[in-house]
Amino acid sequence: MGGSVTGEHGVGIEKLDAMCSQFESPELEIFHQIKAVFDPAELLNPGKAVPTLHRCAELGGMHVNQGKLPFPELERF
Amino acid sequence: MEIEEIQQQVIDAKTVQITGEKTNNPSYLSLANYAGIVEYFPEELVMTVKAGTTLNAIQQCLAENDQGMPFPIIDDEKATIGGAYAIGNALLRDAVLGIKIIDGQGRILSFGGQVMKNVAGYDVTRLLVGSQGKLAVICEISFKVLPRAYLTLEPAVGKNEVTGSALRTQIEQGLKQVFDPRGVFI
Repeated sequence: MGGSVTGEHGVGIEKLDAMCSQFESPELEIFHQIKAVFDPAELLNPGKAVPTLHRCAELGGMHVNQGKLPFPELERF
Repeated sequence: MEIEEIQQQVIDAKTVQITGEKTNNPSYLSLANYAGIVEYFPEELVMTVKAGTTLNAIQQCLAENDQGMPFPIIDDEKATIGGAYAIGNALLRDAVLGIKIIDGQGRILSFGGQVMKNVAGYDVTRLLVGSQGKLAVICEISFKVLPRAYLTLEPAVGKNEVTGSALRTQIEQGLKQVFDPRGVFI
């Protein structure tokens, strides 16, 4: 649709998972590479703003049984 | 022309020079036939076009709703939006919202979107403004439009960009590696 997962509050840590639904893996890869160009030593906010592909996979691997997530009563972000 | 055809040309070619003009020269990748307005929402002040669309065609379409492009228009009937983006200027950089590109590895990638407010991910849409076809084929561009009465085209006052510094060269070379590691785009 061309929308965005966040408009003015940064991605940080809290919205990392949502990045996986807005961007495909190659796009996230580009983000990581751009970050590496400007910050080769990974000094600045490591692990924030752009999720590692590992994190997307973790989210995708959630166990769903009969259409239900584990602990459905828990609020999810 | 479909985006997959452009993608295939990038994958097959050793080197690619991108142009908005029609040409039979095989060393050029012409986007002249990749043209047209993809989406236009006058009430949302947003338009998405294919890169080969001429600025004239865009202006005509916008004029029907008394709107216009909030960046300088190159006074040439052959000038395309892709060309304006590739050359780049501060007002155009402000106006663009999203792009669909093909990188040097032939991957179709989308950055940004069609919304005014967006802070997810690095701002590749604006990073590539002025990249002169050296980093990726810009295929589709989404940008803000404005009612004619609000068009000023006064360039924003800012410090001149420092060119040629060692740090800048290092970052430019780094970005070339990111988007075009094969060195396809010349």
